[in-house]
Amino acid sequence: MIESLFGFTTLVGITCVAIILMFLPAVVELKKPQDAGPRLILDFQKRTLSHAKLNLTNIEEEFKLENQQITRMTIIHVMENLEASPI
Amino acid sequence: MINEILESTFIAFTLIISLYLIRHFIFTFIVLRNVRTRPFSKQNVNYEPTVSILIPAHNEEFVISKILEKMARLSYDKEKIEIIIIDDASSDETGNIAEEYAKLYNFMKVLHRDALTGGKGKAAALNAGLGSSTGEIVLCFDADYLPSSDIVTKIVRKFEDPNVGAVQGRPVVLNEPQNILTRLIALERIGGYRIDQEARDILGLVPQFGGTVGGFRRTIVECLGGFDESMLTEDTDLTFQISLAGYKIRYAGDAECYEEAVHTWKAYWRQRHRWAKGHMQVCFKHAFKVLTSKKLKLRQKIDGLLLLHIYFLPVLILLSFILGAWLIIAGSPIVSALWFTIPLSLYSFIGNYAPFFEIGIGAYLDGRKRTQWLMPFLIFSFFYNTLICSKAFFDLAAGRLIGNKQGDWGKTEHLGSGNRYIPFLGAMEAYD
Repeated sequence: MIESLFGFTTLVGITCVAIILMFLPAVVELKKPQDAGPRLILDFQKRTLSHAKLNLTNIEEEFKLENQQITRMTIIHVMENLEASPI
Repeated sequence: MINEILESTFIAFTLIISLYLIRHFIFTFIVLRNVRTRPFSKQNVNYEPTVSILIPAHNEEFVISKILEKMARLSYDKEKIEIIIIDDASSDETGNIAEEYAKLYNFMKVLHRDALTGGKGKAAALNAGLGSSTGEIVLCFDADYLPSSDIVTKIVRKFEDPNVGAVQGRPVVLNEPQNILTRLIALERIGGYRIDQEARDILGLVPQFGGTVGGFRRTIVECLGGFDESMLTEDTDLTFQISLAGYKIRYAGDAECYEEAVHTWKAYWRQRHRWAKGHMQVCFKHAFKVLTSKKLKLRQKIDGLLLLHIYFLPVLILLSFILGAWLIIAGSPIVSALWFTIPLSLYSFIGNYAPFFEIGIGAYLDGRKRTQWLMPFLIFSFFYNTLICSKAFFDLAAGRLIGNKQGDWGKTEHLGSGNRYIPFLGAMEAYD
């Protein structure tokens, strides 16, 4: 009788632990959702990518312009130094 | 004697449940195998039939303007499209809002139905719209849906095959983050569309036309007599009518559209009760015809019958569980030998029509990272669905006894709760 009671209690205990383990990730996702959706559908994805690409192109263009400006300023600075230096 | 009958019944129930489990595993493996090898069908730019889009609307003032905005931005040739908003006896501003859009866009028109002629359900509203449509292909959208701009192209291109009678697209839950219920519904939709419908299309079975985000060939449906207004699920009824007439139904998984899912358990009950009762009506109407049809292949008959009976499944599982427990207590030797069927039954029991495997793989293919962690909560929605399906069955049986064939339509209320989750609508407007 004691043995069967022990066996039953063990079974109940293992079942409870299994249920808790099964629901733990679900509760974590519910409390701190990392993937709550909604899923972006293709049409929205394309437009988001287009927007991102346009921004990236703009940044690249600005970078090129800045580089060109730096090169020009360096040349001007060197030229001025050359003019100023006594030969 | 009684024990033998109960044992035979238990074995039969277990075999049927196992059949559904095997079906879901087959579906999942088929979709996984075809992920990379099956591209979406290419567009033939010369195939651009005329299209009529029906939007039945009964008191949809919170959502109607959103869908009409989307309709105005469809990429399909506007010369070949007409949009018919069926204002079905609305008592709010739905009709007025629709009229404002009809004034702005000449390809939109409004069909007003008053309280005498209208308000008799979606099937009646669609029949009215069908009667005034002129397009070769007719698409249907519920008023709370937000389609992608190229959805018409993606659905219509499947009709290039003259044997295709209907095409179904894919709804995506917009208000998924709203609460636990909407997140569970999103999971159900993933299993149902990303795996179930996709697999049925790959295997040449019968994908279900869902009555929204989809369309049909107008001449076929007119020959069939339009939508059956006595059916609560006129879409499922049309699915089988078209299939039994020898036409194919295709699934366009890339034709995606946002939908607003119900967000209260009471609304969920009403919606699923109507689906279950309607589906059972369709089962009684078509099961024998599917079994004896000369136009359906064997695999289409098997899957068609499984689909028709799917809303009986939760009731069956509950009964088999109770029966199994009773037989164990009674010391039945058969149940002792078939103890492995208990876990099988339990596995389906907690799966809510589709095993966790189907939904999990569907979420993975969608690129989701953690939403599938919520799957254990589907146990509770399954218990709820068991009650819903049981009630639907008894309501249907009682209705037939007293001669009430249809019952209340029970329209789903849309309050626009999905609108706040429109992710990039602002960015989209900047590029239009």
